[in-house]
Amino acid sequence: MSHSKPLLQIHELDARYGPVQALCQVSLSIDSGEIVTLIGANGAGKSTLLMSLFGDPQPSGGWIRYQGRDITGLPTHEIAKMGIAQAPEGRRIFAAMSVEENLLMGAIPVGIDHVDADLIKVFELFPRLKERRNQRAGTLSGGEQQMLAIGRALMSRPRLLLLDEPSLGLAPLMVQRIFATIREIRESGATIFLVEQNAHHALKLAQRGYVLVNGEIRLSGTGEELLADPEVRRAYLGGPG
Amino acid sequence: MPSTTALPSTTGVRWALVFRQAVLEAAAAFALALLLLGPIVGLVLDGYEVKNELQRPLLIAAIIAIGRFLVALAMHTPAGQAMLERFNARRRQPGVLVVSIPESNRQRWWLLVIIALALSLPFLASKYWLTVLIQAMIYVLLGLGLNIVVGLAGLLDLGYVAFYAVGAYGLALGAQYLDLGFWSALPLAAMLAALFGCVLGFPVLRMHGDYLAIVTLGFGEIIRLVLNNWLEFTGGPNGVAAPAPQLFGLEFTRTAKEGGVPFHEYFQIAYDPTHRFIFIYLALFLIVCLMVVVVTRLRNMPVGRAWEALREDEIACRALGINHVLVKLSAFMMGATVGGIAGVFFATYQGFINPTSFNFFESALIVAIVVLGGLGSTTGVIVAAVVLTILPELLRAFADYRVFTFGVLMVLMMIWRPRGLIRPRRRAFEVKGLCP
Ligand SMILES: Nc1ncnc2c1ncn2[C@@H]1O[C@H](COP(=O)(O)OP(=O)(O)O)[C@@H](O)[C@H]1O
Ligand SMILES: [Mg+2]
Repeated sequence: MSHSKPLLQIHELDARYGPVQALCQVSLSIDSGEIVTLIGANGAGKSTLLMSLFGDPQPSGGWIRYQGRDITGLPTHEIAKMGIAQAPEGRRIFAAMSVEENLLMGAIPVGIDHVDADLIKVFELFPRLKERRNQRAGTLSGGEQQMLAIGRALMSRPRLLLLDEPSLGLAPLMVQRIFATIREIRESGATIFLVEQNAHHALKLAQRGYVLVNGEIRLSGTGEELLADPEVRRAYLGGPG
Repeated sequence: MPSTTALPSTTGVRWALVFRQAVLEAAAAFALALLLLGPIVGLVLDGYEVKNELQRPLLIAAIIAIGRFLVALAMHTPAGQAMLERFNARRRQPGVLVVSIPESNRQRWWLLVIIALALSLPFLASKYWLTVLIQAMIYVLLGLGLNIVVGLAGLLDLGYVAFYAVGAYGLALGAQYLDLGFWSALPLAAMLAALFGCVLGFPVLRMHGDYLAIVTLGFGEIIRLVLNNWLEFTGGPNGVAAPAPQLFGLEFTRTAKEGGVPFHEYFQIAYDPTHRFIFIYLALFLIVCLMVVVVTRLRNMPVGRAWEALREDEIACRALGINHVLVKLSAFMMGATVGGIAGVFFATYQGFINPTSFNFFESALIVAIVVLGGLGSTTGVIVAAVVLTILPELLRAFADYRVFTFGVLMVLMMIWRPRGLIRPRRRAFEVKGLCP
């Protein structure tokens, strides 16, 4: 398939923490309306990739293009205003603020003009958050905090939503619900870049996937292709070698 | 006010009406300006006389009236109408509402009682207690300022005394080299302190917790060492004299400097040195009240929210489009400004300052005030500041064990109330008109 122009294009990206090279020549692209997943073991550099997309750490080589515009080297808060939102690893919600305030903080990049409507949408997606809207966010359960992190990211009306291990540390039932919600969000028109260790769920949900090993892209393909790949089966799905 | 749609469509009649409206509004502005500016600009103290210079406020009021007239006319041009429409549309838009904590009538009465008490205290207190009260007020101000940095923005600043010193030396050196009076030095010293806040803010932007604390500690010591060693400019350990405040040009001294008028002679009362302290106290009290209002409002404004969010999670903040550089700098600068103002009052109350007043112990005391008050609580900080200044005075009876007793009390206090005297209550935001 040939595409006219991808929504996000990453080209030979390098990133490092001091002497440690965390990403090496990573190239990938995401088209509008897709769910693309990135799987990889702990420490492979998945979170680093998402964060360097966000300018923290700044890439040490390569470039990132979003909607045709070069965003390499822009400060984090500028990138956040361009329609990219992230539910970061570990959720990073504001524990002392109420659920609703957390969601309102998410609307900062777009201002308060559509706050009402967007809040209603997020509450429809996550009725649990509506019940707890005045509760301190720090007192929510892990799954609810993940919902809040995703909801907060949605409040900025993102064209591209980055999710970093949304299923991390959640009970199996909650994992199912989160993945169901991600599908729902995709149906409403957003493009999703999903980082997961839960390869089975992620590859079933996504159209395409990439496999990251030690900071390098090892494999790429459609979700089914990767699910059937013997190396992926062995390394990430507990299948026979 | 007639709306334009109600006006007849004939342009001639319409403009006549617009014109009349503009004249009326200009006249109202003129009267208001005269009323406000008349006493301030029109009455000039000259020796022992008050001179009437009415033409000055008249001139200013006339300029204001003409301006108002032109604005009123401009508002009826198509461009003006469009602007008005945009402004009104903004107001009709849904927005975010601060939910106020319901204030009971009791609380309001308590507030009145406290203000009345605070205002009458200086007239009842002895000179000694008056100076203690002034010190308490200065520490309240310092506590409120540091509370922005430590309590709200979560940046542990152990060198806050630096800004206090900048304010104090700003007044003293400003008077010495630039011949500035108290009231002109006050805003300038505050701005100077803000500048220093900015200077400190930049290098520590990337630091957190312990590292930030160490660097700010160093910054406080650098300022003190510079003040101590730059003999030619600051007078070094010998210190500098700071001018006393004036009340509309009246001086609080027994005999006035050349051309000045002492307060007591003007009002034909006996000279009493406590007049100066009473005046400083009242001015300080006003500033403290103003500061409380400002801080309360700031907390509810976007910048206050950003401070609190930054305290909780910096990475999340940046990922949400908050410019953490601006937010951190604004916290440092706001805190420094308040510290500078406190310094100016300290200098004028002491009449003389030297670097020993600005050592690390002061910084530690101010941090103690903020922590004991319950990081982030305005009421807590005020109570803690008053307690921590008055308590050592009451403990004078224990002479040698004073600092020891003080320490024990602080330890007990932290065991009994680990989150500070008063737990900060946050005001939540809600979305206007969204049904629950
Ligand atoms: N802030 C950091 N400083 C130094 N090294 C880091 C930092 N964050 C991650 N790393 C290192 O970079 C590599 C990739 O980490 P990360 O992107 O978090 O992996 P993943 O999200 O795939 O588990 C790891 O070796 C990790 O130790
Ligand atoms: Mg990770």
